[in-house]
Amino acid sequence: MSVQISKVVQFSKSIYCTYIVFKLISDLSVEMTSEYNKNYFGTLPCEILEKIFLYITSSKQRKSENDREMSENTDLKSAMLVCNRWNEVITTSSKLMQRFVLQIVDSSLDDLEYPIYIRRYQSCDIYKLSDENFDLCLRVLDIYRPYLKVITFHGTFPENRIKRISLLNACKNVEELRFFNITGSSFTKNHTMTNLSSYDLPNLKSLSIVDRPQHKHSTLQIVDSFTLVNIESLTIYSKGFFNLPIYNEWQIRKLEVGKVFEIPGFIRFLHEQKPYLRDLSISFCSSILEYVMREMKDLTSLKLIIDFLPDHLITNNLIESNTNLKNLTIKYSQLFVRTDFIQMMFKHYSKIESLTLDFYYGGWSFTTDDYNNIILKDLKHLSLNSNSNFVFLRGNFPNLQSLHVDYFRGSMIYTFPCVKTLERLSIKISSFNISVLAEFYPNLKYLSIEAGTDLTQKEMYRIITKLPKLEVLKIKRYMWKINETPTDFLASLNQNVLNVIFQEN
Amino acid sequence: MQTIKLQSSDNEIFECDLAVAKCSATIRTMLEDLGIDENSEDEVVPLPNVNSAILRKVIQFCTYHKDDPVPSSTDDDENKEKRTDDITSWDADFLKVDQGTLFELILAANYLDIRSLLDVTCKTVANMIKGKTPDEIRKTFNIKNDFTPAEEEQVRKENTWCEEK
Repeated sequence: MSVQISKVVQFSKSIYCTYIVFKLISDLSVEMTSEYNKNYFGTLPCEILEKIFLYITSSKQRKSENDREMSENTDLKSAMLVCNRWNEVITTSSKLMQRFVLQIVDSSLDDLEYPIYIRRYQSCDIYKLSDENFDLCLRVLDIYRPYLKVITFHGTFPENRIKRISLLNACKNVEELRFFNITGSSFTKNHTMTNLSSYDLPNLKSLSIVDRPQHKHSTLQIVDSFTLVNIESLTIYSKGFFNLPIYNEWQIRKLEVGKVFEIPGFIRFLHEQKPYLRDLSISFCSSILEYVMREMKDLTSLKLIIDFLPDHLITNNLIESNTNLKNLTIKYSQLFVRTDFIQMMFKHYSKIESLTLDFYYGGWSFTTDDYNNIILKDLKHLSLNSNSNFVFLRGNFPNLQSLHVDYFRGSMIYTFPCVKTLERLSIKISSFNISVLAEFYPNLKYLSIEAGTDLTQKEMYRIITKLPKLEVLKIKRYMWKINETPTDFLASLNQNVLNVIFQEN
Repeated sequence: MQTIKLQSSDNEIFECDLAVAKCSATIRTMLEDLGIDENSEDEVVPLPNVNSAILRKVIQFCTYHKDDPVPSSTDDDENKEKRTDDITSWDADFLKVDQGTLFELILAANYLDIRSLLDVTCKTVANMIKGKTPDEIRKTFNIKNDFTPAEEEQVRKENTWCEEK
């Protein structure tokens, strides 16, 4: 009997042991699952979270039109919806929020409640401001006022001066104000209310006023309600430059203007600003051009839009050396340019880094001999739009990074500057021989083709796969025959690497 | 070749190349500030915030990358587009680890101030977030949705009021 009992005890012991082992294993597995279920993000400090989020903004989920839903919710917007902490880290980060623009469109913000975390928007677009949405707009601006640096008004701006001032009061910290296409009855007549003092925007550094070209009246009087003492950058495409109040204190560094009719006055203005101006963009008449090329040797960036110039002025002025120039854009719409013009220009602007040439009716063409001795070592960006033949040699631009060709009569790629350093190529010509692309530009990261091609999608695919560094491919839909859909092409591409943007016809 | 001894939080001592250890700006400063003589063999640098498993990985990473050019501070330029598809295959293999290790590596890289390791680990985590819906993100990282329905709706609404550049 006793033997029996001891056996029972032993048996129950072994059961107990099994239980212990089982308990241990199950405890362990509980621990393992809880370890597995851990939210490791909780262990990271906020600045590391911000650093991670700064990386997720780089690629937008816009691979084709089929993914439109995805594109509406960008990765960063999705991240804000994950939890309170993520939302707080993103919305309170200036670095991250500078990628967003707050948009006030009609009554889109009707049901605005005070936000949980105030998003540090630095930029705000206001569309079609009216009496109806004025108060709402003020409320919104008031909420985001500490952070907003750039405010753009599209279409309307209040006529009533008290409203203008209360609006500008709500923009107090703004550094850049932009008015685009302000139209409507509000600005067809001048206002002569003088009782109200002007409003001060102490941080305002940049002002842009852009009217539609067909707009008969100048909207420059928009600015009569605030002072512009600290302006450093001015962009004015509006009739009558001198409707703008001009201050003696101005030190304008960047000036962009459309056509100026008050020429002697404008040259006086340029003369006063000469010590400060570095970046000038202007539609030229010959006397202004003469002054600029003769006197303004400190410019580093110059953009000329020329309607008409006598031939001798081009050779005498435009190609006169200005060694400080790094960026030069010439849009020349009428004249036939002399054969040696480009050649001489290249020789004179030997330190140029970015060059845009837009000659619609240029009637010249070159042989390779004309370019044999031209080497622009610093040239990184070249943009051409012309119906003339350019013939470039391999050695002309040894460090070119980006090339844009809009219209180009010389159809073969071997007349392009062929450089292994090229990272961006954008072409809008029909007879471009794409098949040699990979051989000529093996380091391409960005490729945009806006023209038809005889290539099948398979052939295109073969070329793309030979460009290992390609990140963005931009192509027009009509490139291919109807029976070849973009989806087939997309499916054949490795979407992890490429960001393909299809443009509608 | 000069070596240095590093002590992990669980008291394991690692002997490694001085050049490797100096990938860490924290260790570099420690050596300079504390005046630890590079010739004194017995000096041990304590690293109380890094355990031995992670320290072993960190040393492996730094050994592989010790001859890389030092990234200039201009790389930190905010305007520069941050890429995440430039992770080398060695780094990608090195970071094929469980989430716990990955996040511990981030913390260690942050504490030891090893820029290249911090960059590549953060990129890896960013790639795990990209292209996912909020719910998929929560599932991937076991994050609890602590928004009230009203709060979530508010964030959703605010998202429609802005455009990402």
